[in-house]
Amino acid sequence: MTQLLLSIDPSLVDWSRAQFALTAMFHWIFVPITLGILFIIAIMETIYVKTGDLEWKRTTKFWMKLFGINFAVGVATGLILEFEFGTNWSNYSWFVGDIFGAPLAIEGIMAFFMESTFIAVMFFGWNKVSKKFHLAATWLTALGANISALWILVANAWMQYPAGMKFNPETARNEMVNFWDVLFSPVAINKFLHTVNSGYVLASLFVIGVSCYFLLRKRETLMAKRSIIISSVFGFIAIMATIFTGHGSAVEVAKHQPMKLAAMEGLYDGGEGVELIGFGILNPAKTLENNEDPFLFKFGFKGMLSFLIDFDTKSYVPGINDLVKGDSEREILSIEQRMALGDSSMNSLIAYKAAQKSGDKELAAIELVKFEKTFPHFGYSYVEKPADVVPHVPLVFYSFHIMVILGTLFVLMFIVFGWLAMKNKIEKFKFSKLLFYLGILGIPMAFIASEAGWVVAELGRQPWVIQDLMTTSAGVTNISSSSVQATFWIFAFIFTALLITEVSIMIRFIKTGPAKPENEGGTEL
Amino acid sequence: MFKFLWKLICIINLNSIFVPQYVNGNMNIFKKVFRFYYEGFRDMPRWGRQMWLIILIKGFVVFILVKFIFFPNHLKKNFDTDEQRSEHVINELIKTSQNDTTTVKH
Repeated sequence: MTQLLLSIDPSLVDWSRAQFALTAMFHWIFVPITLGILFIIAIMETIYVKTGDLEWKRTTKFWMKLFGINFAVGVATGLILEFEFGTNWSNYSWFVGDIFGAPLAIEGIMAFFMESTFIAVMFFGWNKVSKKFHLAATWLTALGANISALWILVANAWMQYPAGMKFNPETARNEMVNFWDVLFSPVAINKFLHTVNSGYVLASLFVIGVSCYFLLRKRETLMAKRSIIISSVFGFIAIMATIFTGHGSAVEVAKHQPMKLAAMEGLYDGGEGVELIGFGILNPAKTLENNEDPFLFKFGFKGMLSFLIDFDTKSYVPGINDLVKGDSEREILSIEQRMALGDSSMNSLIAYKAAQKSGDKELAAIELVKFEKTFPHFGYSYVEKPADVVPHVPLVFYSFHIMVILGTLFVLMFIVFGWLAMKNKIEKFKFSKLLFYLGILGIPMAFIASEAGWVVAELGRQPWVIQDLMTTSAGVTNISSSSVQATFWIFAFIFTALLITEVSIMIRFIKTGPAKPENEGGTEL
Repeated sequence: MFKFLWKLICIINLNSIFVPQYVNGNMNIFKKVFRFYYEGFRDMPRWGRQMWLIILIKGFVVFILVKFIFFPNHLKKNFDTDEQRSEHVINELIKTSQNDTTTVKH
């Protein structure tokens, strides 16, 4: 890992990106557990309120405690991302304007008021408010956390597909013209649902993994089996929704970010009836310029990529070469053509500003029209050569396939764990020990799949920070690279310390297990 | 059911929340909220106090050290008005496009 980090080009753009990636990926360790485990806790508490069974209360409180640790260690890590926007990505932050401002402000208000109010009732309110009100507070905390996630994911979706805005060359900002287009863009809807559902999957696997630890130790078996049933059912529904919305996301990627889709599949030469790669080993010798086979080995399903994108096994899917070189028959502009349009857009902007300065209103109006016409290609003015618009294919390809393969394994895990626990056969199962170890292993696997998803989404978007409008290099603040390097290592240290803290406290509490029945009641956190 | 929904609607009016089980209905709303939090923190178990210590240390590191020492807002710090900031960003966008000091990286 250190070798990998040290091999990063120590330029400003790369260090700023490495720092942001480090912060975002670390933040994403805590978020999915919070998003998902709250619903699992709410379901458990609902059963307790319905049945009055104190074992369910005890179970609820145990998972609530683990949620509390995760929340305490993870809270405010996301704020660092906002600081980084202002310091390292000031051009980008200004350029996105109120597109980011409005959703993030709502997110801040939601997160602060809703979560902080109801979390207090969740932890302090046992025996102080009625059972039903406490239950409502738990559900509202879960909803509040998920609604908070909506806004930040809407903002992220806008970077992948800028909709509902108009660039104002006077202020150099994108201004929101239609809030609903931003909120309900198909990219935003799929991204939100896919991301939160993947969080539910991760939280379910976390609960299964911890429960498997208890079953291995032959402790708290009732709590563990009940927890496995709830999280398997919840996780199964969530993984089905994740697959469904993942497909929806891929369809949107094909429409708005075809280069990302081509990188996800390692598809250099597109065509009709394109196969879906199940898994493959990419040929490291393959470049845009040579005719080497992109794969050393592959296992695919013929026509399936075309089918998944268009519901037609013979439909056309462009590859990296098609997108770089263009295809006039299929109305695909080459990157060189788009670069020319981008330059034209930039020149119109320069001419518009110059005409304004000299007071030539007529010329300014003409240049503004030209600028607005070519603005969808504006970002291509920053591209030096066509190959620059191709993301890092191996990273995107392997991340995508690791995510999909692990996702498929999770479907099987939820079915097997859920079925065995519901039939009360999980301890009597012939390979139960192996199964419990698999359950524990499911926790790191869930994190790998979840982080890999982000790598696909964000590295697949490169070189764009805002698709087609702004490259990552144009969005960065012109500050000293060494200061970014310094803060990168400071964050690496802080985050590592926090992660060690979280993991060690979690392990200690898991080993201790839930409170004894006679200790129930009273104030918690 | 109605009672339950009413409690949800009255979420801002905490008076209606704590009355049934918690404290004297005549008590001032602010006192009730204060007491709820006060007793919550007072009776917090050891692990809860540890979590709060982590939150406070992290809050100090994030808001004091990180925010003010390492992460000043570049545009707010260096420019006084939005006009100046707009002008600066436009110039940066044009400059980045015209000279190739910062190349497109993956």
